Amino acid sequence: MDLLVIIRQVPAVLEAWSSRQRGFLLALFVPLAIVVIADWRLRRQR
Amino acid sequence: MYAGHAGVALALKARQPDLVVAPLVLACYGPDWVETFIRVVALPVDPVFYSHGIAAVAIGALLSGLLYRLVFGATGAAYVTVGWLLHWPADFLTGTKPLLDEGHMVGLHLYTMPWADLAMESLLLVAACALYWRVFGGSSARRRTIAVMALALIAAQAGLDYFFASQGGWGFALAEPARQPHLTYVAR
Repeated sequence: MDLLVIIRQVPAVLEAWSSRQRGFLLALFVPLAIVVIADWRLRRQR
Repeated sequence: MYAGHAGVALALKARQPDLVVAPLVLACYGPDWVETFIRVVALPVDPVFYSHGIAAVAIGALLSGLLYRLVFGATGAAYVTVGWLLHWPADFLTGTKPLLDEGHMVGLHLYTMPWADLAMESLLLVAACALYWRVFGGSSARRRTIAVMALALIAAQAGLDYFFASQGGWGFALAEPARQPHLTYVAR
């Protein structure tokens, strides 16, 4: 229930950030996601 | 530096294959995460100095190694510390970063020469992925995964450099008299 409340607040929090902050955060997640997904695939391909 | 930090993480992981990759990548981008946190919660401090200053990087590196050691064990904790520390010299090549105070930023600022930045970071990524390939590329499927990862990281870098291509000229900070403390002193 608490988690749902937090999830519902996410759009409002993102709205409050500037486009620069959103861009910065997105830019940080992209390489992290690429490497983590590749590592996950490599472990499955063993 | 942008995607090149992921290259540093891959090179470290190739050196110590037991490392858990997510915290390692987080550590290699550590100062950027700290800067983002300071900006997002709007702390009343200089976000760049308190994330990328020499002292901030050293403290962050130590804490990240300790945290990794607590959560995942001692194996590889030193590599996480090194990954955080290497963020500063990598950023020196592509941007301008603070040294010991908030006033003096230094760096080659290759972001303002996007083609050079793309070439350098791509070279770093290719070299890191070659190391990764040697350790983890045991089958053709695995080698394909590593190749796709390398291309995706270079594409992400190209996207950022395409954005920077619309910005101003080369701002080599060590060459700007206003940012050189000894010249500032003479001017007084």
